[in-house]
Amino acid sequence: MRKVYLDNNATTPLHPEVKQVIEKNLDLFGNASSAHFFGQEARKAVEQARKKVAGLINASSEEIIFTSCGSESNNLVIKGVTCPDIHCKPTDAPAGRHIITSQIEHPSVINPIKSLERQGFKVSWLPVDKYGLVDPDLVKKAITRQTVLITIMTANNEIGTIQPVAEIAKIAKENNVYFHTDAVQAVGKLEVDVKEMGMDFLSLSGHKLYAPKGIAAVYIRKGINVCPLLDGGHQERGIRGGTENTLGIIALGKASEVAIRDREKNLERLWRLREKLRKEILEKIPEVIINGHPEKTLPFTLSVTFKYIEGESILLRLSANGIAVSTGSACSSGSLEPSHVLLAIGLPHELAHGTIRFSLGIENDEEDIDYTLKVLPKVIQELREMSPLWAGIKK
Amino acid sequence: MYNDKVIDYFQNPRNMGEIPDANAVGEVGSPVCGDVMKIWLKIDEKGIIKDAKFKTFGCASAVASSSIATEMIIGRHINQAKKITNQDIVNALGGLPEHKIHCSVLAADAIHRAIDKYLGIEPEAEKEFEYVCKCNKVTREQIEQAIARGAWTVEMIAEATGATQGECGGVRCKILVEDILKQYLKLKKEDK
Repeated sequence: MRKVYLDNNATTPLHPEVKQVIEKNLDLFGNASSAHFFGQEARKAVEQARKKVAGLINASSEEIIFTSCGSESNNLVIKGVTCPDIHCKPTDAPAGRHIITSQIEHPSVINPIKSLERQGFKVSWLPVDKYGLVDPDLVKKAITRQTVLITIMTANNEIGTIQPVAEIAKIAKENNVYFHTDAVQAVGKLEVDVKEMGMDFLSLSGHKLYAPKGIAAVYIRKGINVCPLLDGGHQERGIRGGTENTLGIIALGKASEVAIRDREKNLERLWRLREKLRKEILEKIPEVIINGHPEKTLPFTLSVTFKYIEGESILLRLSANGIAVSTGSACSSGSLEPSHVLLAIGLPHELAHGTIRFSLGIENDEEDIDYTLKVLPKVIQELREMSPLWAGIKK
Repeated sequence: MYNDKVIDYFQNPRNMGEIPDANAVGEVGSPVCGDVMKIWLKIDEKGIIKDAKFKTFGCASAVASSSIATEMIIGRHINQAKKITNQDIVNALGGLPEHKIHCSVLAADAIHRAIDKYLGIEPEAEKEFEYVCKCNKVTREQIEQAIARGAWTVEMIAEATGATQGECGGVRCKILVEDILKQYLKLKKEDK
């Protein structure tokens, strides 16, 4: 059976060149903090990789801090700039207790902010429009003298919508407020330039751009100091203790290099495949809704609501046919509440339950899409025939 | 996540469809919660269920629960069928993940609803009106509904219904809520 992986927003496979560089460095075991030649060899590799990661987002090397995952990067920024410890409080940091964010952020942004909310912080949870866009005017209006941080994701993981982050960063700057963006889904796929966009903080993650799990990074603009999440040694300028994940860092460096080199080529090819998938789903299957913004969207993400059936059923039937996708509903993860993102764009519960995310990656080709378009209408039809809601519609 | 039997009943559902001349139909659930089950029964003059079919909007365990439930009642007397509990359905499937137990509750409810309708019993008359949480006036039915909608810990029930969150701080009702939960989750607990 053909295997088609269309869940690249969840995680990506290793790029062959990344795999190669990992294999080549398996014996590079030295501690990058050691002064002897074993250590210095590792240090050199780590710093070369840092330069490449910095290059990917047009930062300088000293602005890149390596972490273990996107969630850690997000937590580090949110908790690091709001830390109550006056000894580690950066002198120029805004001192207020108000945060602005959106309703469609990743749980690793939502939950640390909820934790601060419980500690007495005020939070503005900004709504989004039906495409999932945050209105920069609302950001401007939400700013108070107490505002310390604005955090808005660059692109949404579920529906792909790309936010006007440059505009929001400008507003933040004018008001002397820090701006952070969770760019985990965007970096490597889109051109992200922290200088041009005016970011203070940016999170990125290795396993979304063909590097392994367990390695990520956060960009912290030169001159800003944040409190560490992990107190420890002097590693990563004291902002993130713990011996460097040398292999992971080298892999992320390679993945960054490959991403810059291949970005244009992939963008064009995968947008064409995504558009083919979108158009033919609309042609072949009745009663569907395409979610997200028609243009301001991640080029490889397609969120589709199939009315009158439930997402997990679609996922498992596709999986049985060798096609891997994900649901927009959280049903399979333990709660019956559908995705907060789909509810925030105004999708009613019953439609949010029937939503599937297709996310393409560099390994996909035209045949994958053709195969999916062959299997999908049959799966949808079978499930609808099983649904009492569909029977009502047909009559 | 699911065992092979659940997957089998989901991928190859038995008794899927409608019975045009059914003399009992039961529908439970709501599209908003993500599950709707409809069961059609053909009951003969002796009260024996001659045929049963289902249609389900929902996840794999909802489809599997309703499918196996129809198999369990065909050939049985309605009095026997009415005794089938959600645990019997979970048993028959060889277990469900904890947060999917509510699917078996819905399947049992759908059968009971169909038979009650056949017998002319109104659904409201079935359940005794009683407050489990007296402080916040939460009924047993509300708690069962919360479980059916995916609450599978006391905390989740508390969040959904307010039970155990009243003045007494749950001193009186926490144990009752735990009991109700246990009834639904019993099988899973025994597995461990």
